[in-house]
Amino acid sequence: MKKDVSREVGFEMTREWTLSAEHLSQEFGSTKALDDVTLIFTSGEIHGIVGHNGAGKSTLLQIFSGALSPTSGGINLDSSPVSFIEPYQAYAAGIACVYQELSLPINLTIWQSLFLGHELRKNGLLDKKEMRRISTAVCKDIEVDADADTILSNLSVSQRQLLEIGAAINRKAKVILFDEPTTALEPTQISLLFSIMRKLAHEQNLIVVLVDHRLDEVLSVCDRVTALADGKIRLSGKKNEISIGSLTNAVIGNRERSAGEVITPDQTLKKEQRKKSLLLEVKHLGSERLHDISLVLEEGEILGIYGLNGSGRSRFLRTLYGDLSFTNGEITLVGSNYLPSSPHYALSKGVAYLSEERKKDGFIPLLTPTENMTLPILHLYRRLRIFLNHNLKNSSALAILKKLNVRGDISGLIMRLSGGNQQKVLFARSIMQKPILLLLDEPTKGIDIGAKIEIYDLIKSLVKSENIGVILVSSEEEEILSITDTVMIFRNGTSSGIKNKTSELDIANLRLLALQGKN
Amino acid sequence: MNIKKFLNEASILIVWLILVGIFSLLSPNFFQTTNAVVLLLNGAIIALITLSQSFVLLTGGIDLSTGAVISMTGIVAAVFMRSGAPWYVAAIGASLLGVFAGVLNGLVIHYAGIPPFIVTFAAMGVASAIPMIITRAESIKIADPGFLWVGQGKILSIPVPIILVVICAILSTILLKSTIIGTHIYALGGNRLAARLSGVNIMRTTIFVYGLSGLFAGMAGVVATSRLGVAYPQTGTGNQLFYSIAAAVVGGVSLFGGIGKIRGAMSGALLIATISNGMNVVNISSYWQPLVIGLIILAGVGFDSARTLTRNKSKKSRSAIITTKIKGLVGRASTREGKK
Repeated sequence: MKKDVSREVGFEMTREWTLSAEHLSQEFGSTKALDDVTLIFTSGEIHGIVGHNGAGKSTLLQIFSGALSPTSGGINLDSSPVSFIEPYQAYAAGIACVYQELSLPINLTIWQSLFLGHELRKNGLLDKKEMRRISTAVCKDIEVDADADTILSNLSVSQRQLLEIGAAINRKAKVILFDEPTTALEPTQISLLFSIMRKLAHEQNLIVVLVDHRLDEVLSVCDRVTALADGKIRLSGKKNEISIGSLTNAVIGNRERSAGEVITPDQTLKKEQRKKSLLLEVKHLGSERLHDISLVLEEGEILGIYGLNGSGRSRFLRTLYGDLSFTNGEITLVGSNYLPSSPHYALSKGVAYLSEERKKDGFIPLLTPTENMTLPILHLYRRLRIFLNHNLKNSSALAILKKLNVRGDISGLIMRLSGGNQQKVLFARSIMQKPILLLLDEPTKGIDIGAKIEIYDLIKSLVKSENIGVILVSSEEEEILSITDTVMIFRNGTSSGIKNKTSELDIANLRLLALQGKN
Repeated sequence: MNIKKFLNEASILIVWLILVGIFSLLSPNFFQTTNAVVLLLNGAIIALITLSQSFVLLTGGIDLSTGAVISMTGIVAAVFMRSGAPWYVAAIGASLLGVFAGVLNGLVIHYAGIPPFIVTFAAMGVASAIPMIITRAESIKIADPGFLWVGQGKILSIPVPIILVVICAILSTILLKSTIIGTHIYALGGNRLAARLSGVNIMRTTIFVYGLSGLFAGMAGVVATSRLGVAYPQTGTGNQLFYSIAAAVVGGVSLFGGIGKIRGAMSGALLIATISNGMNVVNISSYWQPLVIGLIILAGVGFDSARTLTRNKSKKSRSAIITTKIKGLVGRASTREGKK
């Protein structure tokens, strides 16, 4: 019997206690995000979890914080099994998660936000005096130099991030999970964060879990480190028993590579590739979140962009497509200046874009596949310059759908199709635009392997027959390796501009390149 | 499947027939030619403002200034004629004033990023005050026979307002079905972000739709004023806005955008006009009308959100879906294009 811990008051905090995962597996469709993971967190320790994109880090975190129920396996808190259906149950059990994104409402004061949902009362009214007093103490702990009555919107982003931690502390959390907490912080604040983490673990005997992809950070602060790759634990042990080399190998999922080896990619392209005419040239592109990106793309080339989440890959594509604006740099498309001010402009210049989130900004759910496909090119199907020729429109769209082997009720609404078929429809939309440059953002996200291979074939044959250029952003190493000609690595919103030849890469050194940024 | 679809579309007419039956039983005066003409003439104004509202609703917006624009354009037409303008200049000028008001709404919604609900709410205040200021709350009598013909005349014994509505409804249907902007309107209401990435010009579509809404409201103002023969500064500040939303919603136009047909909206207008007329004929106090129409809106929206719910067969609770949808309706403009 699993017992409901939400009502339990807690246990003696001075002795040693644990939080453990036992044989956790999590499946999403056919993919295994976690595969039989058994892991123990001990009180008084900072436990680092490292891993690549899709290694299962965030899935693990979501299970511990109650946002996800595992397919199989369970969690034990202080040796008794617990299960969380909703996040508040994990909270009630004393497990708090500090996310990368800020979650406290910015219209509240510091004391209001720190006590949100568990306000103190005195005689039925809010005990503001006491809440202010405690908040001031919490702020002192986390070194946020502000009055308890300060409105959050007047604080800096890093101060607000620290307050998120303060809120977790203030809820008397016994376990605090940190999800990539250093992304938005300055170096001095990172060391402050680490000192807070040490205090929580070593002085207050809490469990602190740090999920991060910066290996040096993890090794500097954690007492114990676990490396995940492809949903499995590759390495777990005390910090002083682990070298950075072995950790790196575990993260990139390759045990054979010797420790500390650095890859030197081929930086020169073959001469016959240079002969092809230039399609796109980006020089020193910069925006609020992108810095100094330069690249060239030739006709008939498939360029892969690889990098960790948040490295600016999608942002770069959206900037090229005119969805996001840029401040510096210039772009040349087939020899003339290209100034993407809106998607409308990009489309008119022959640039097509396939969004990563097809449900969010990819298709229009209430329209049919053919309507979705022809939306960008309706002007081609006009009679007398005004009226739409639906027959012509539908027949040309249907011809492409047929060629692409789209299955399901094609005359119904697009939202009734399966994910893979929806993606094929969106792909067909791009084809119908007859683009010269195709920007693909995670084109096979969340679709099954069969549809995936079909889409790969489509991309390849399109490039071959039309000689267009393709820029492909993907988190899947196999995808990058199987269809691109060249690969660029993005890191922290920038790229060195060096193109690696795909034929000389494998999964391990691709991951290593993204991790080290030494490309 | 097709029978189901037919019943779905015909259900509103079935409800209408039942209502006609009930009203006929309650009062012998209801099922009379003279009353039918009154019903249709009142219905013509409701139909025009329903068209006005439907286009905006299809994009996922709302126009709360519809009723106020009726008052404003009616008075302005009268003022034009009082200062010597020919009747057709007054009528067209008033309609164009409606367009102007709508375009202003659209511009503010798009460029200032203020939700449609708020912008048109403010516009409602402005547009209802202008006729009061101009006339000091007094009505203006209209004598020009040409202008009166718009609301009272007949062509081949069919009242002009009804012909006007039929023409507008046909043109609207063609616009939505067979032009680029029509498809763009549905796309915008279905998924704003995806529409933008598909190259839909959001600015142009938004301004067009609010401008069109203003045009129909302006025409309603002209017809209403002409029918009465008097321009009242408060012609449209009564139940008109209420009617326009109720008719569109019971006619199957989704308050959440992206769904709806002109045919349905026009059936909705007929239904609302019948209820309004029928309640008058059977001597129910007019104070009851907003109550009944309010309940109809609630039922229509309830049906709409139930439809949305069955469509998104997700684990999300119904209220969560409605909340997000309404957030979208009110806050859509605030999540404008990702220009940062």
